This record gives sequence, structure tokens and C-alpha cells, in this order.
Amino acid sequence: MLQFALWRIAGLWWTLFAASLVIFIVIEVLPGDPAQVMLGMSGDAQSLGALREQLGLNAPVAQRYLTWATGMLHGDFGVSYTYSVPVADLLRERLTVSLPLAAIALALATVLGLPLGVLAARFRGRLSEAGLMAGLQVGVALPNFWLALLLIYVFSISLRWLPAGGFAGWEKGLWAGLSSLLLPAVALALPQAAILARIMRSALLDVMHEDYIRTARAKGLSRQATLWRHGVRNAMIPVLTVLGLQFSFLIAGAVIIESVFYLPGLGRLVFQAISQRDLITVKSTVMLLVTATVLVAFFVDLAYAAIDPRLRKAPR
Amino acid sequence: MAILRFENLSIFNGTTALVRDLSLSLVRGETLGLVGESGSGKSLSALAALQLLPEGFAQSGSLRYRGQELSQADDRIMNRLRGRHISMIFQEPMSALNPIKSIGDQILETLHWHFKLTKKEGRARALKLLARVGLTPTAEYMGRFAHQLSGGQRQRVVIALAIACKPRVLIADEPTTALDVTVQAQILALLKEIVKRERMALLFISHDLAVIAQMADRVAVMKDGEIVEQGPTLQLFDTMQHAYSKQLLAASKHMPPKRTKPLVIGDTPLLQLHKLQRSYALPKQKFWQQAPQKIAVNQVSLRIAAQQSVGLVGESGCGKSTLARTVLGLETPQAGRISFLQQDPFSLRGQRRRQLQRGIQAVFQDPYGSFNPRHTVGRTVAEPLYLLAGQINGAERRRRVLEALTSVGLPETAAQHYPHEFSGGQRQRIAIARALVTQPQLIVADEPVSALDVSVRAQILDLLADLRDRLGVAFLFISHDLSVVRAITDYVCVMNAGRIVEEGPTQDVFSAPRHPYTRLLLSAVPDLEETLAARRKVGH
Amino acid sequence: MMKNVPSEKASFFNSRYSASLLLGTVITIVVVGTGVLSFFWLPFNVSSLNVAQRLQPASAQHWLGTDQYGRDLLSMLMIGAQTSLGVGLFAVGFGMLLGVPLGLLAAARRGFVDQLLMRFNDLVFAFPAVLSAILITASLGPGALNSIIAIGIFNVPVFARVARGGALSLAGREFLLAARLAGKGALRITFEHVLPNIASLLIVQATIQLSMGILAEAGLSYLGLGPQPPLVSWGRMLNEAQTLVSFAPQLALIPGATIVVAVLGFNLLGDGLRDLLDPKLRGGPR
Repeated sequence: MLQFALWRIAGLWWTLFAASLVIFIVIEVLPGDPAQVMLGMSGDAQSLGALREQLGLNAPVAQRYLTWATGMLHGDFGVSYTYSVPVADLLRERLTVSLPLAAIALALATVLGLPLGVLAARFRGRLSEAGLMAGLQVGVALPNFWLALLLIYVFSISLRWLPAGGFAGWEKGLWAGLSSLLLPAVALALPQAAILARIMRSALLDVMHEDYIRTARAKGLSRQATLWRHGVRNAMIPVLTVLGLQFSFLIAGAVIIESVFYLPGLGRLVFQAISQRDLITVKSTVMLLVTATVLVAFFVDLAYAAIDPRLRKAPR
Repeated sequence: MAILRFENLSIFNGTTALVRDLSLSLVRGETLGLVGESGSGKSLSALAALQLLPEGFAQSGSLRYRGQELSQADDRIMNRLRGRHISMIFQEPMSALNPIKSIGDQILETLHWHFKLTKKEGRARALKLLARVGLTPTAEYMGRFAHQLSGGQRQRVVIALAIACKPRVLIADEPTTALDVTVQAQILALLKEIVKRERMALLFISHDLAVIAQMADRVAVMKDGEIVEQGPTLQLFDTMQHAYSKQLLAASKHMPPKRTKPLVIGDTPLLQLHKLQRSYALPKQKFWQQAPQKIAVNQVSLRIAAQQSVGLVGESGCGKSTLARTVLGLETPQAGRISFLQQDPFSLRGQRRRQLQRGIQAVFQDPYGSFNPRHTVGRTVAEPLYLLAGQINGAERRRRVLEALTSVGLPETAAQHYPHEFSGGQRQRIAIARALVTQPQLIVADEPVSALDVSVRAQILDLLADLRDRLGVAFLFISHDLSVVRAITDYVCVMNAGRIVEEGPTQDVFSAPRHPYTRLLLSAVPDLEETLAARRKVGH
Repeated sequence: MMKNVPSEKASFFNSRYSASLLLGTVITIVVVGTGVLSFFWLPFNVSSLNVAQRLQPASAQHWLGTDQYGRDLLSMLMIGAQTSLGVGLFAVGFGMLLGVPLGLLAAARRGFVDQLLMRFNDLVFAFPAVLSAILITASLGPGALNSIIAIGIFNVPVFARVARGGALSLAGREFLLAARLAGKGALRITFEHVLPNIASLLIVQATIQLSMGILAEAGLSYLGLGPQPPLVSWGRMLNEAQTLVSFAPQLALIPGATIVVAVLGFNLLGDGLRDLLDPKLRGGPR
């Protein structure tokens, strides 16, 4: 198990390194002159030169990358061009919104999706399954931001139960904060739950065809006990892989959903930074989001190995 | 009184009856052998005894356990009976065990499901069970997983699961078919001992008459879902009534015709291997280490003369398939020399390599996996003619394909059909036709009849013997099945752990084996005649 | 002498999944058909604004009403299909062209190439389409081509994985050994034996990726990172409708529902095809 963890940690660093390189190249090398991009049409020669100086663009590319990467390792993400505050401060502030949002959405998706998947597999071939499957099919096809608009229309505009957008802040109490995150989290979670349920169902149906399920039944285990002790547990292996990937979609979805609800999260930050051509903020925020995705994939891999003893070896 | 009784039990999938009017009974302490070829419905009958038929299958008739009707019983009653009163051992121990639960957990699960036990009592009983089936009774062993065990050890675990609650009826469905002969002998002995000691009733299902004769007190022969004949073992074998049983017996004893003219071995060998070496990297234990190596083929030397039929026997993992692939040029040896027609195939490139490859073709084991399902039989058989690209025209290609099909006893029309339209035996004929189409001097046959039913196997062996005589092809015949090798080869090599431990003319090796491994192998093979002779001596 | 094999057709019509195949096919034909039709004919011209006709309800003239600029909603949806399907299709093509050869190579070579591909997978999965679109937009500006690249990059490892997995599942099959004995090279074997046998897997995956591409394009357009005006897209229509949601909810409802139906159609088609092409998934014991 330790071997496996060490191996995966090595992979984790490799991915983070490659990702930072990709981000750096796309932002700083591809456009030619990032300073020109940031100033747009309005830039005169003098301010262009000043900005180049500020961004350290006169240094060679390799050195610029190293400065940025080592800076991040020390918690230094640069200074935002538009806000003139350290990006690290911005990120910390925005994380108080994005992190709870992602956590609630992931929890909701799992709590809803997995049991629904088990149910669908249990009721295979019955009418209730057909209904459930139809619902899941629609759920998978729902764009989350459209679902968000519908939720706003129903719960905020028509029923006036929950705020339509904005974030009250955690200072005003837990409920005030939660109430502004509830609709966004539901909008994010529902399509993901549908995807998870479908994967759980098909993984479970696959597993229930295995020989060891027949062995369990031959030992006298009831249908129910076999399903839970041998079926669901073994089906979790393929489900976990997907769960890791889901987080990547969740982050992507959060960027859009935060825009729909005007939530001051990371997604909104990076989106605004684009429209303000604040490349420093874009670069570091995207890096943070990528890191989050990679970390989640890493922990999912560890969980994977904890469940499946066949994986607790270092690969060749 | 019968402990388990099938009465006119029929099993249907939709409207097709797969088992018809099955009537069998088992008494305490008795082993009933159920023998039949694939598709005869014997496995379904076993599943019916546990009321575990696949979804969508229906049954009629009656199945009684100690007088209690089971075919109408609901799941609650069956859950109490399964594992506790009636247990089952499956064919494929790897897939029968849950890969992500330790074997200890799986045994404990059974015990705790049926008995009220404390954790300590459970563990003590589980350890005793491990010892009972000949495994190491330690906590460490309990924590192992199926993938960490050998095939024989896995089957012992499956047996431990089945006997955990001391059931009265045990059902074993081809329990040794997936195992090597030496392991098979051990598992059969273990089963026999357990059944005798616990006075269990055993329903033993197999396709192998010799194994059945060894294990069963009574035998029932099944064909196409019906029992054609049953009776006490010795009586059934000695006074066989039904045509099908007789045919089955004849096929399993079948020997293809011997050579018509004696083989003259010339000075220059067709194929010569000299100290061939081939090893593989195993998965690393620690990722900073060098990967450990497994030596699959170790210093193997071998000669095959023109028209000679050479057998290579050994158990799984002994390196015989790696050797076959090296001979075929599919894998490069790491050391040693190989020469075919006085040339080293690995030193040749392009046209000359293709030229040499024409002389050596192969027939593989699996008649289902050896064809591209999207190619017609004609295209499949013609594939090796790629080696003659540019040398023969379309008409010649057609002629060769049809000739190959005819020589293996298939009609010319077969060329237009797809492989899935043919039975297993017919597919193996197609595979042989494909090997013949380049008119090779040597055919490497890797377990060519292992996946086939006995009656089909007899036909394919006849065909191979016929090709040997008629076309003068040399064979390298690889098999784990000694009787097959004995039947068809002139010369035999016995392989163990990557080395050839004994070789010689087939007759000599089989009648007077010298190496201990060869003796072990020969003694482990269940022999029908010997078993029956031993039974005659004791009178039943 | 031939075994009697039940014909594929019979099992197709008996399968209870043919419902999803049928529905999926119908929806796909309608969606693709209207998209194609919009190249030649539209009920109304949508490139000119007509403020006098703004926010009309559904009528005999405007079947779905008009938007805040007086453009006919049905025509907008039809022409929007061009963008959504176009971006999705090109992204799938991009993913397949790069991913399939990569996956096959990894399956054939194993070892180093395989490891490299796995690491590349890890990397790309860290960049969901929205993030790569944000990066690309930040540096090169928004547009249809950049959306295709952003979405397509994510498809590369998906197809690589499917192709690799499919090829590996064939790896032990003896017909591949037989082909090597026939002196055929790796490339020829790939085209003659491997690709035809994994084609169905790839087709199924393509329909799934197409529907995901449509969703991703809608998201990008909604954020304004997708194809830019004058191109019309469903996501963009939603973006424009957002501020009007309280008094003209139909402007948000209709394009959204269109996306759902289109995506549903491709998903159903994919499911139906998979059940049709992969007999393993059809019913079985217990």
C-alpha cells in the first residue's frame, strides 16, 4: 500500500508540473506579448514598458517560469493586475465560497446518485426501473446552468424562498451562507447525480453477473445480502474512477454556476479576470483549480487501492 | 431413503427445454457421477438443485431434499438450505472467489451467516477449515486474496467455503477441469476423503469418464438434456446399453491410426533449437527495484526431423507455450540458437523471412478466439497466403483455399460463411486449413483439442493423423493432456519449470518413464482402464 | 452442417432497449435534419433586428415567438443547431483523429508509450473543457475554433482510452497471432483486425462525446467564451435570456429544452447502439 501511495505521489507531482507548464505556455508564450494582451488597444509604449517590467517579461522564459512556479510553492501567487492585491489573498477569500459549494455539490451528488443507481439495478426489468431510467437520462442531458435558471425562476422569483444570487457571507451566520449556496449546489449536483446513478447501475449489473455472486448465493446469502456485501462493494471500484473524474466536471460546472448566481467564488474570479485581461490572476487561479482536480483524483486513487487489493502494488 | 431426489425435472429457457424429465436420486454417503458433453444440461441441473437457475429460466417437475419440495420453496427457505444443507463447488476457482475480499473474510461470512458464533469461535472454525482442506491455518493466510494463491489453493478455498457448515449434500461442477493433472489428483483425493469422512452425498459433474469412474459410486450419462443411462459405476461401464454412452466411451478411448509406413529420420533436422532461453520481467515488488525475472524457457534444446511428430507435455506455466511462440518466430529468444531448414529466422528480414515463415504455421487452442469474427472463412484461411504475395495470382489463391478446406473435410461452400456459423470442431478444422494453406513442412499445434468435447476430439485427432500420413507434415504437438500426446506423436519431450526434463521415443517414455516428474505426471492422469480394473478387483 | 444461429434482426426487435435506439435515432435525425435545413432555408432572417416585433408570444407566424430583439425564436434554434452540432462534431473528430492512433499505439507498444499516455491522460483530465477554454480565451480570445480545441483536447484521452482498452481486450486473441504468422506487420494488422473489431466501441463513444460536446459548447457560449456573434448558439441564447427570466421565462426555457432534447437524443442513440452492438450487455443470469 505504501509503495502504491509513493508511486502515486510521484505521479501527482509530475502532473502538477506538466499542468503548470501548459498553463504558463498558453498564457505567457502563445500570445507573444502578454503585456500587450493585458493592456489591449489602450496601451501606449510607456505603460507597456512599465507593465513588462512589473511582469518581469524582460527575463528569459525559463527563468520567468521558475520564478512563478517556486513562488507558488511558497504561497506567492503574484499581485493581481486589476485589484492590485496579492492573488493569494483573493484566492483565500474566494475559496470560502467555492470550497463549500464544491463539497456540498459532491456530497449531494453522491448521496443522491449511488442509492438511485442501486435501486435502478434492483428493480431491473420492472416498470419502476423504466421510469427511473428515463428520469436519469433526462438528468444526464440537463445543462447545469439551465437547471440553475429554472431553479432561480421557481424558488427565487416565483416562490421567493431562496436568494436568486449573490453571497451573504459567512459572517451573518451559517444559514445565511448556506442559503445562498443551496440552489447553486443543487444545480451542480443533480446532473452529476444522474451520471453517478447510471454508472452505479451498470457497474452493479456487470458485477452481479460475476461467478462470485453465484458463490455467495450458493453459500446461502440472501439476494439482499449478496447485493450489498459482494455487489455494491465490488461495483464501487469502477464507480470510484468516475467519481474522481466527476470532480473535474464539478469544477468546470462551478465556474459557470458561480456566474449564474453571481457568487464571489474562484470561477467567477477567473471569469472576471479574463474580461479584465488580468493574466496574472487567470494563470494562478487556473493552477489552483487544476491542483484541486489532481488532488481529488489522487485521493480517489488511494481509495481505489484500499478497496481493491490487486492494485496495491507499484506498476512496472 | 434418498436425501436429494430429482423427479421429472425439466428446465426451460423460454419455450426451449434444456433439461427434460431428469430423474435422479442421491443417498447419504454416496457419490453420483453425472457425465456428459458440453451443452448436455448437466450444469443447469446442478444449479437447479440449489434453485439458482439463471434469471428467465423456468422449471417443472419436482426436486426434494429430505422429502421437502424445493422447486416451489421461496427464497427464505432456500437461503437457509443453501450452504448449510446443500453446497456447491464450482469449476473456475479464480472467478468463484470475490477478488477484493480476503479468503478469511469469505469463509467467516459463510460461518456467521448460518451460525450464531462469536468472533473468536468463528476464527477458530475458519482456521480449522483451512487445515481441513490442506492449507496453512494461520491468520496471515486468512488475510490473503484469491489473486495471491495458485489454482489448486484457490480450489481448496472454494471447497472450504462449501464444506464450512458441514452440508449433507455437496455438488461439484467440473471441480478440476481448470486445474493441472497433478493438482487434479490432489483435489480429487481431498474431495473423496471429505465426502467419505463426513458421509456427505456428492453429485459429481464431469465431462471426463476416467475422473467419473474414479469418483462415482453410480453414474448417469446425460445427452441433450436427458439422462440416457444410469447405474452403478462398474456395471454401467461393463454392460453399456445405450448407443450414446457407448459412443462416448469409444471416443474417450479413441486412438488415431498409427503411421502406415515407418518414419525414416534423415541427417539434417527440419527444426533445431540449441540452448534456447527466454525470460519475462515480473511486476516489481518495490518500484525502485529492478523487476525480477521469470525464466520461462531455460536452456531448451530440441530437434524435429522432417515428417516427425514431436510432443511437448507439461503443466500450465511450464514454458511450453512460450517455447511454441519462439519456434513460430512470434517471440525473440534472449539466448541460444534456432534454425529452421538450416536458417535462423530471426536473422532474416523481408522476403526471405516470409519465405521461411511459409514452412511453419500454427493451430491454436481456442476455436472461438482464433478467428476475426468479421472475416469470412475464405478470407481467414487465405490469410497466410500473404506470405506469397506477388507470387501467386487470385485464381491460385482460390484454388489453394478450397484445396485446404477440402483436405480438412469441409465443403468448399464453407468459404463464404462466417466463423460463428460453425461448431467448435468445425472451427478447429478451419484453423487447420489455415495452417495448411501455405503447404508448410512443420505445424505447431498448441493444445489443438483441449477445448473440444471427446467425440469431436477423436475426429480432430484422426484428421491430424491423416494429414501426418498423407501430406508428410511434421508436427510440434503441445499439450497438457498426456493421452493426446501419446496417441499422435513419435517422440515426446516432458517440460517442467522451463526445462526439458525427459525426452525419448513416445513408446519408451510412456512405458518406462525415468524422471520423477514424468512418473508423477503419468501417475496423476486418471486412467479409465486402470480404475475399472481396480474396481473389478473389489467387486463394485 | 451449419449451426442454427438466431438472426441479429430478431433479437434487435425483441430487445426492450430498441425503444431507446428508436427514440434516439428519431431525435437525432430531427436535430441534425433541422441543422442541415437551416443552411438552405429559415422561416425568418435572424441577422437583422426588428425591435417592433420584440418579445412576441407564440403565434401562427412566429411558432415559438420572438426574442428581445424581435428575432424569430424557431429560426434562432434552427441556425443555432449548426453551431452546437458543428462544434460538437469537430471536437469529436479532433479527439478521434488524435486519440485513436495514440491509444492503439499504447496498446501495441505497452511499456514506455503506455506510461506516457497514462500521464498525458492524467494531465488532460485536470483540464476540463471550461478551464482550457478559459486559458485559450485569455490568451488567444474567444471563438468557434478555440471552443473546438478546448472541447476536443478533452476528447483525446477519452478516445485513446477506449481504443487502448478495446485493443488490449483483443490482445490475447489468437487471430492476431495468426495474422503475425502470415507475416503481416503491426500497421496492417491494426487496420485489418483491430480497428474493425473496436469500431463499434468507438462509434458508441463518439455519440456520448458528441452529446457532452454540445453541453460543453452551451456552457462556453453561455459564459461568452464560445463562438462569437454573428454565430447563433443555444448557449448564447440562454445567456441573453438570463436577465429577462422573470418576465420572459420562455426565452430561457425553449433553448434550454432544445439542448436537453438534443443531448438526450444522442445519449439514447449511444445507449441503443451499445446494447445492439455489445451482446455481452444484453440480459443474463440473475
